[in-house]
Amino acid sequence: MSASGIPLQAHLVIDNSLIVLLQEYWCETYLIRVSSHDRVSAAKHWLAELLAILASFTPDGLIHCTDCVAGEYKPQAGRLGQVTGISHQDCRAFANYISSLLHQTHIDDDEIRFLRTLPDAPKRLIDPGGVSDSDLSLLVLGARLSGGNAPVYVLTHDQDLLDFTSWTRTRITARAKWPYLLHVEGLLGLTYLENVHRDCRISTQEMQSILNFTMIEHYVRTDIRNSQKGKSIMQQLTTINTNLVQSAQIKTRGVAA
Amino acid sequence: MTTLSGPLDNFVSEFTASLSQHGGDAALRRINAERLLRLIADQMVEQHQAEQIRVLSDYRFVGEAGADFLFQVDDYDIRLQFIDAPDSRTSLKADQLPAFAALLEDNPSTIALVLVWTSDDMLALPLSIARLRYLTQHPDRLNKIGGDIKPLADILRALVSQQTKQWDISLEQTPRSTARPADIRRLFEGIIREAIERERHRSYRYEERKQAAHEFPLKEEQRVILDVLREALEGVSATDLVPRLTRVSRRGVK
Repeated sequence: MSASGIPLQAHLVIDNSLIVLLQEYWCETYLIRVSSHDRVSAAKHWLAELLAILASFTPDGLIHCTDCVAGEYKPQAGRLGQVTGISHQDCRAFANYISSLLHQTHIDDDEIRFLRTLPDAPKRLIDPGGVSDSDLSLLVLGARLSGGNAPVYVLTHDQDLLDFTSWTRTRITARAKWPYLLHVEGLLGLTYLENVHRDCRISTQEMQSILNFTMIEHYVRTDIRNSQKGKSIMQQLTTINTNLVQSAQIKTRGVAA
Repeated sequence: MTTLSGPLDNFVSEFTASLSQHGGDAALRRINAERLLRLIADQMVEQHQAEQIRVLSDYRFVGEAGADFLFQVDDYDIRLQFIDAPDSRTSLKADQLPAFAALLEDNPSTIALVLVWTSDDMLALPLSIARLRYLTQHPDRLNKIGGDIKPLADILRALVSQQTKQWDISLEQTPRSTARPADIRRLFEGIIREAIERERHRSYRYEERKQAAHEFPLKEEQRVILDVLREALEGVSATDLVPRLTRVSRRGVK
């Protein structure tokens, strides 16, 4: 059981945006500590271990994904593809290995179309630039898995997909098709990982390191110089650090108990 | 756009909900409610572009004196307070009222505190300071608030409409003729003058609003409106003229 926070026992549907985040974090943090010929296997091992931790919280021991989303995972597009000595062939082998850790399901187009054509869907989310068909396939998969007692978490870093998931749960038409749709929750992958960290062997130091990496990635992309975001960023940093201290205390209490 | 949509802001919201809510299910309800609020806010921002609506995380800015979210609209604001709603129940207790009243007293530019229950249909109740005082004096009336609870989107729309002067004039072009433009212009001038006179004689609670009404640049605004009317009668498209008219409703901004 979770010491605190969201319920952790849940079916997991994972978007490759979370895998990409973790892969990038590994490259930034661990790459230079590993000898050049061990890098790919070390990255595989680290990511596989983390996915195994997540799977240990699921009722079926599986990390679910759709075949189209898994097929879009291209590690060579990130830091891994820029490392001298790691070829594109190595990256493809890496992608195949990670894909093999995911339980993949094919989703038919008509179910995706059903979601996209729900009445009164927010235009920002369904118009071009909003959720893609691959994104929607994850929600369909989540809805299909929602029959049991456990919640289903769609873990992604795509805010449009998260917003669309929350919106779809409110639709009577969608609930008529999937009666247990209210069991489906969209969550930021980082939020679930942080909550899991309170109850497993992921150290608070590692979690802090992942959060720091995410923040730096975000700030590098944000043009802070010409914006009024300075105050807001300080607030974000303060809140995240305060929350993490609180979270670490929960973890410590859980370990002691 | 609202200012709630940065990726880190969303993470901070989810992280905070997972720590601050009583129970995991309450945290999930809160996370979903915040996303639905964001969608409603986006729609409001799009529909009321002239009012320059901004949505901020109020608690993070003003601490205890704030609510959960702040809707800044033109020269007033609306504060939103989330209340957890297990089983979608929308209940309100007497001991919650003093904190809500204090929040409105501390923030005089807030026209209403809207309580939002974290149910999937986002039911909400608007409260003014007068109503809060009444409910505090008559706690038995708390059982009767059900009739005033409505979806959040409807409540926000109603609050913004109440504060916005609605000009009941179609912007669609009418067929041109030689005689009608002069009549329309005279009719419109008369209506505008009456409307402005009514506005000038309105009573305001806050001194700064009284002063604003007193200093209203009557001749300047009237000239702008009548110029727009003239150009409309000359065939300039409504799309080109709307920004100038909506600029007028922003009270004094040139």
